[in-house]
Amino acid sequence: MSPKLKRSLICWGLLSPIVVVILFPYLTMLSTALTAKSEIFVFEKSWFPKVPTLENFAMVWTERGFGRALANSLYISIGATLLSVIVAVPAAYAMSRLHFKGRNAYRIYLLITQMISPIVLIIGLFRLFAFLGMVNSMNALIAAQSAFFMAFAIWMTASYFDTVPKELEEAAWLDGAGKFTAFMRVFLPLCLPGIAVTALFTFINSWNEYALALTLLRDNASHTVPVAIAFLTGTLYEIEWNLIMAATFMATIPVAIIFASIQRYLIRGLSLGGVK
Amino acid sequence: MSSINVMDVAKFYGSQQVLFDVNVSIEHGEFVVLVGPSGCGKSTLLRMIAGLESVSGGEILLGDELINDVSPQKRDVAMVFQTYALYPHMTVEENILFALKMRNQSPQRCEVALKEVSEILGLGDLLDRYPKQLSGGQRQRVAMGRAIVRNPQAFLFDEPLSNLDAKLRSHMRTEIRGLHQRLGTTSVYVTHDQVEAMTMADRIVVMNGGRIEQIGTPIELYDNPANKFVAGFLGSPTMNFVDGELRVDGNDAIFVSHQEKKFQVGAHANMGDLDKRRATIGIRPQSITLTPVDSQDDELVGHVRVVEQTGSETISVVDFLDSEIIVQSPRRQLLHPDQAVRVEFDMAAAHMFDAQNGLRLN
Repeated sequence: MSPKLKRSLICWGLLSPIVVVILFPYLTMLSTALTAKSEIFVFEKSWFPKVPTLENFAMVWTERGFGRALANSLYISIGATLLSVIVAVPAAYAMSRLHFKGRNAYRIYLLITQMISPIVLIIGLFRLFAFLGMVNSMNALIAAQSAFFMAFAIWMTASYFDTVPKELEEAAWLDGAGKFTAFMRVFLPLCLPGIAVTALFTFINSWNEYALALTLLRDNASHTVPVAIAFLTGTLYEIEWNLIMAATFMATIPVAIIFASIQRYLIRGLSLGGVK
Repeated sequence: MSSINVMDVAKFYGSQQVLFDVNVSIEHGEFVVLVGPSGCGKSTLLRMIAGLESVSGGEILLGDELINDVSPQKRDVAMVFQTYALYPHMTVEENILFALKMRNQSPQRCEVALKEVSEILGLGDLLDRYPKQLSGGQRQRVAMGRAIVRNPQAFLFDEPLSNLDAKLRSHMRTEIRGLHQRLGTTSVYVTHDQVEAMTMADRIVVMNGGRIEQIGTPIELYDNPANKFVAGFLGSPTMNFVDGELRVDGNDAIFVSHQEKKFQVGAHANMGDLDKRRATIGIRPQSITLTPVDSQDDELVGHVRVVEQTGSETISVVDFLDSEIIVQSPRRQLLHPDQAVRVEFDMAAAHMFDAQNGLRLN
C-alpha cells in the first residue's frame, strides 16, 4: 500500500463518522418522504419504504399549497438577495477603498448591528410595518430581511474587495477610464466570485429565515417555506411526518440548485485569500 | 512627449510629512531615475506625478500645464506598475487596447496600434492569452505595451523590474533603455536598485528621507557625490568609509584615522579651515590595492577575512583599521583567509566628507 493511499484511508476512516452524522438526517428525510402514511406508524419499523411512493409530494403540493409557499420564498429570497447585494456592493466599495470621515465608526457600527438578535427587534419591526400598513406584504419582508443581512453582506463583500489589488484600478484610471468606468469594467468583473458567495449566503439566510416571516406575513397565502413546514406540524392532531419530510426535501432543492450553479465561484471565492 | 517640472512639492499624510520641498526639472525626452532606500518618498513622488496621490504643497507641471488637480485619466501619462497591474480578466490584446478603447479610438486605429506595439515588443504570439498564462518577463512586456500603445506625454515606471530574476532583469533593463532610445518619450523611473539607476538613467535623482540629496548624470554622481549618503548609495560594492580627523599644515594635509594611521590627502585651497576637522574618507573598493606581505610590522597591514572570486575579478573583505574594508581588484588575485596584506588607498580617488553633516569636503 502506497503511503498516499494509506493516508487517504486513514483520513476517510476518521471522517466517516462525521459523514454519517451529516447524511443520516438527510437519508431519513428522503426515506420518510417516500413512505406512505400507512407505513410510517407501524410497530416494525423499516429503514426503507416497502413501496416507495410520491403521493406525499403530490399531497403537500396540491392539498397543503406548498407550491405557493415555495413561490413566495423564492420571490422573497431572490428579492432580499438582490436588494442586499445592490446596496452592499457600493457600501463595501466605500468601506474598502474610500477614505472618509467616520469610516472606522461605520465599520464598527455595522459590526454592532450584527450583535443584536433579530428576535429582540421583531415586535418593534411589526409595529413599524403595521404603522406603514405593510403587514402581509412580501416586499416589507424583503426590506426587513435585507436590513438584517446587509451588514454581513457588506463585511463579506468588503473583505473580498480588499484582496483585489488597488493598482488594477489605478492602471485603469491612468488608461483613461473614469472612476465609474474603472469600477464597472475592471473592478466589478474581478469581484464576481466574492459577490456570488455573498449572494449565496444571503439567499440561504433568507430562505431559512423564520421569525420575521412568521411575524410579518399573517396570511396563510403568503407563508414562506419554513413557516409552511412549521404549520404542517402544528395544525393537526397528528404529526404528518411523511408530509413534513416531503416538504422539507422540496425546500432543499432550490438551495441545492443555486449552490451547484455557483459552486465554481464559491470555491474560487473562499480559497482566494489562501492562493494569493 | 513633454517636460515635467516638480516645484517645491511637499506631501503630508495627516500630520506626517513625507516629502520636503522637492524640486526636479525633467527635460522632454529625458530618462530620469528616482533612486533611494525604501521609504524615501520616491514612489510617492512618482504617484503624485501620475495623479494617484494628491499634492499637499508646491506645483507639478506637465509641459506648461499645471496638473496638481487634474485627475489621472486626464493627465496623459502612462505608468508601469511593480506588480504590472494587468487586467486578469482580459486577454493581452484587450489589455493593450483598453486605453485606446477608453479614448474611443476607431477599430482601424486600434488594429494598427496593436500591430505596431506587438512588433516592437514581440508579443505577436501572446495576444490571445490571459495574464496568468504568461511568464514574468512576458507580463512585463505586456505592461510596457499597454503604456506605449497610446503614445503618452510621459512614461512612469514604479520599480518595474523588481519582480524578475537577475538575468531577466538585466535583459529587460536593456530593453527598456532601447525602447526609450527608439521612442524618445520622457520617462521617470523609480527604483531602489542603484545598478538600474546607474545603467539606465540620463540623470539620477537620489532621494533620502523625503528630500533630494543630489541630481546629476550617473558619472557625475559617481565621481562627485555631494555627500556621504550619495557616495555610499551609488556604486557596487559600496564605498568604504574610515572615520578620523584632518590635520592641515600649510599646503600639507593629512588624514589621521582613529587608529592614528596617517594618509596623505591631496591639498587644495581653503584647506586651512579644515584643520582639526572630524572627517570621514570614502574610498571605492576599486581604488584600493592589496599586496600580500610576510611582515606584521607594516603599518598598513590588514587581514583577509573573505575572498570572493567571480572569475574575472576578486572581491575581498579585509579587516583593516577596526572595520571591514571591501576591495575589488579587476583581476584574479589569489588570496586566502587570514592572509596578511598591505592595504593601500589611492588617495587621489578618495572622497572626503564632514563627519557631522556628511557634506563633501574636497
